[in-house]
Amino acid sequence: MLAGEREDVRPPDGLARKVRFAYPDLVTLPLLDVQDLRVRHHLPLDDGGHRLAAPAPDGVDLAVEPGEVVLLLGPSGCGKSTLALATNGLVPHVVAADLRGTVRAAGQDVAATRPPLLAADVAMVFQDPDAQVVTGSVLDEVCFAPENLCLPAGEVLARAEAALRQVGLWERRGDDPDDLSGGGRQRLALACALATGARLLVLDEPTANLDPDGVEQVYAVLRTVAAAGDRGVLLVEHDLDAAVDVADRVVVLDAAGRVATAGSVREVLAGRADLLAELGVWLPTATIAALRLRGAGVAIDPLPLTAAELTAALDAQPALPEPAVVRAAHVPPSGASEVMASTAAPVTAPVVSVTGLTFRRGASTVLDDVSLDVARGDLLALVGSNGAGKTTLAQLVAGVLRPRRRAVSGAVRVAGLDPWRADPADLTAAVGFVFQNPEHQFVTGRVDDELAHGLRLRGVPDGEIAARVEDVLERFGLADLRDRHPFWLSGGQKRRLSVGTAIVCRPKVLVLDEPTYGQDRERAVELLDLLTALHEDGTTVVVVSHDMQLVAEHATRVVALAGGRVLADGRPDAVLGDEAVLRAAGLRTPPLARATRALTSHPDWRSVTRLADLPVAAPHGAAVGA
Amino acid sequence: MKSVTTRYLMTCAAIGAAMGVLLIPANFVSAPLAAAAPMAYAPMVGLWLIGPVLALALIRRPGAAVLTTFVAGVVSSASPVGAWSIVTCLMAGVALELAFVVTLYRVWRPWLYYAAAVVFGGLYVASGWAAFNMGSMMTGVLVTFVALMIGSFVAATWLGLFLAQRLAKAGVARGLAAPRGSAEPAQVAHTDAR
Amino acid sequence: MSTPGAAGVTDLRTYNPLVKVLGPIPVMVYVVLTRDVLTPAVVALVVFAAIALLGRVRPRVLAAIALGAPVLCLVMTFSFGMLTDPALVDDTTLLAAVGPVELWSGALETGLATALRTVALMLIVLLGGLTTTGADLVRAMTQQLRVPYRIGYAALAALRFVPRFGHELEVIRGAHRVRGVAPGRGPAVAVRRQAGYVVPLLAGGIRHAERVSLAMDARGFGAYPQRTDRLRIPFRVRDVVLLVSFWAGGAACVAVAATLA
Repeated sequence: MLAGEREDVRPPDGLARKVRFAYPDLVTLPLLDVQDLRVRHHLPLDDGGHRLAAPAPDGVDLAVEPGEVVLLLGPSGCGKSTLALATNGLVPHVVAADLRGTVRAAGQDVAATRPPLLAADVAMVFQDPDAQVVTGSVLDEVCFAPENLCLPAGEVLARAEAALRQVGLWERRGDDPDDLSGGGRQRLALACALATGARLLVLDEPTANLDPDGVEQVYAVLRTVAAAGDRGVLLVEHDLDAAVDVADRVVVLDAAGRVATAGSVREVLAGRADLLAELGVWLPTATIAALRLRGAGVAIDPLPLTAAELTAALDAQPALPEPAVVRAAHVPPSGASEVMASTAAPVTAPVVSVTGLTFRRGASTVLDDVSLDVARGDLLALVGSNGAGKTTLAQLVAGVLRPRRRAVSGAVRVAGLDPWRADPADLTAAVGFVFQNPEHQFVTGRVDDELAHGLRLRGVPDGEIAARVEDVLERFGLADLRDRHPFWLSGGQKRRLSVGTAIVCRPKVLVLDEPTYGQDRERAVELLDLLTALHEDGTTVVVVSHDMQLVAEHATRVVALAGGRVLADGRPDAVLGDEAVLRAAGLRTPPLARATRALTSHPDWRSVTRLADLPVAAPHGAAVGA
Repeated sequence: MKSVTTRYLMTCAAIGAAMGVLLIPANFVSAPLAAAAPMAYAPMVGLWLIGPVLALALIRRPGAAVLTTFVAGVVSSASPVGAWSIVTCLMAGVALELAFVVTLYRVWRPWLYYAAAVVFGGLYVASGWAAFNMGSMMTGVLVTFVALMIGSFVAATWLGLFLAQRLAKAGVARGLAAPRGSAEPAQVAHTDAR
Repeated sequence: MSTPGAAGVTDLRTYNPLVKVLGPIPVMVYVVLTRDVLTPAVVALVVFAAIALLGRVRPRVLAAIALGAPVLCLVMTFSFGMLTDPALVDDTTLLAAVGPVELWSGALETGLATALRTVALMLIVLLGGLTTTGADLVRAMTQQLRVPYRIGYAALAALRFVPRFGHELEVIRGAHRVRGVAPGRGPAVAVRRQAGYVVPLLAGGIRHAERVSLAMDARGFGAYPQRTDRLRIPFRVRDVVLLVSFWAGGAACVAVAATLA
């Protein structure tokens, strides 16, 4: 059936390998040499043919030498991931595309080599740790690549052990990969990459799906790889606060997929910060803060890249202007203050109330005696590590999870309804839920139907449905896509549509589960701005997140969960300022707070947590990183 | 093997896994049901055909039905019949695949799926004839039994085709299926291999 | 894996999966073609003894088989007896008649034969099934039957999808509920609701599989026609002995049944 073709490639025997490595030119060749790379993806059409997407990347030159970490940056759609996938030929051999220019990995022409054959030279780590697990145990997983490369069994085990020890998973070799934490699974993916023996590692957004603890684990391993000096790394990453002290060089692409600038990390991120901001490329938080301060007249030079450098730069200032005391987000939004004024009560009735909620799944207690009241107008952030019970709590509040009586004790009320028993039509008017994966939320075959669905269910008149759908389509920039299948949208568009489906029924409470998960920085900021706007219109927002800086910037209240219990509950600056609580919750202090907490002078600056707390900037500087 | 992409293999594997999950309870139920109430068992037999029909209709590549049922068999071997379910599943996959081999993978129209389902149904009844000693059954019972089985296969085929159409609409497996109307699978496989 | 030596010889689990699963097929074909009561009965007893002595099956499972097989036999004898055409057996004794339904002793005998055949076949399937994992059978298929390893490993990787489907289903079910897809009660609505889960579940599964396939390609899956097998599924002399004893055992059963008859 499928077999029977003659194979012309034999497994490499020892001799062949030695000869290849002894080849004189190879010593001087870069691990990766990309020249004039231009890729146009094939967009399949209904008739089975395809049309070409706009080129991205477009004419890019890039090289990675042994011992260096090259950071690839650029706005979404610039072709960063495409370039990463082109390094071992997945583009165009598997992901169909037209390709111009050359890609050479360890001297081999990638265009002429099947991707699996390049596994010994290029190792890859992808964004989603779950989508990289093939076998049933940690050890089998690490052995997978060396086995595919036909290494002798002894060598396979030796490599697997070395790789697992390097990432700190040797003791867990017998475990099911699913039992590891997110960070653990991504370290496993790194071990798998190391075990191939490839000298070039390509990492495509390796921490986008991880909690802060997981990010730290991955970068700890990456530092040991970089320190060894024999491998080269190409890193596509949006979390610059984590990546900046590992990277040696930066290559920045513009929106059209061309190289905008390249150079050493400091040269590019600090030296050309304005250009980067203009391109829509996110900067390290410390750099953004320093640029804002510059705008406000504080002469910081050179620009800091890390929290520690910002601390030093601020301490070096003889005097600082007073931080902005106007904490806009802490003032209840107009809707809420009106209610307060009209009822003249000091505290309004909570719109969400959770009392003594305990929830068990099988033998394990996921939530343990959680009590929580959310006042109208709050923008509440639920934070905690993976597995702390955040998602379960959010799903119970929104009625996504309807627990069996035996599995639960305690009660939840949302806008006066019991979300576990309410009719869906009533529930959609009380609470909207946005899923981590937007695709889960889509139940129809068209974008406009998707928005109209909830309204039809509620029996809203047709004319009003059309008007409200139109309004959301316009607001979320989806008007041109109304007849598309929701699954066909881009990642950012899907996210906007999923929020749209939740708010079109104008719920009193909007609950979002990790809405920035797997999204790049721009999309995350775009979304948080959308939430802030909804919040200002009077919607109560509950958002599950572990992006500490975004939480610090936008939330009016933070609840930290650990092991199913509420660990801390309070204003963002209080909760995010408590290092002990954050550690216990598997979280980390957001970068700006990390810098200000460490200040030795300027005591009034030590509580600054948000970029919005910085002194009011002059119009010129305000554009940067906003 | 080189001309077969991993993406194609794993797409079949995903469909097979879904089918396998469906078959685990079916394996538990089918034997006692076949024994206690053959009339209730007859409509169940179509379950084995949904996966391969769906895979062939969605992917339109040679081997999709066999691969899908192989994976379904491996996955559903977590039931009393164990590894034997691989053999059972493969029978359905091979039977369906044969119809497309005979037409040299040039025809992808629904009638061929239905024709294959009816032929397979006939063969299945014939094999059951010996095992259940159906020659000794009452004519009315026999007719009902055969009609239920064939009907089940036809219904399963309809369901498989329907699901494939819905999935294609959602953009699933796009760019993997051979171009519609293309009569040369060999060519497709070739360009894919590079 | 399998440990060689005397300890393993009495443990069916240590034998080659192909032998256990495919070896008894000639016996099964023969059993299907029998019409008498004794042959399948003897085969069923012998196979059950083999499972009990060599299968290393958990006592609870063994007990379930020991109880289940006779019950199944009894139920089948009557259900197939009812289906038997009375015209074929009207020379035997009429045992009972309720309205138009008549039960003849000959019909019961036909039913019993059918029941015993089914039970014998099931026990043979269980003999291989209970002592072999799907993963081992896949390995044996790639190592001895020369099934391309990429197909075998695609199947093994698919085992990882199963718990994922379960988790996804839970989320999709919650999503459809809060969005009010097919609300209400009743069997028709329930069917419509379940049907609504299928497409998103499959779409998510296939997308996930495509991402996994990229990771597999990047790890050299399919680089060469073979790959290193750390886990060998051996095909030893004792596997041949087992194969021969399946056939010899089958023949012996037939002989015993013939003698008894």
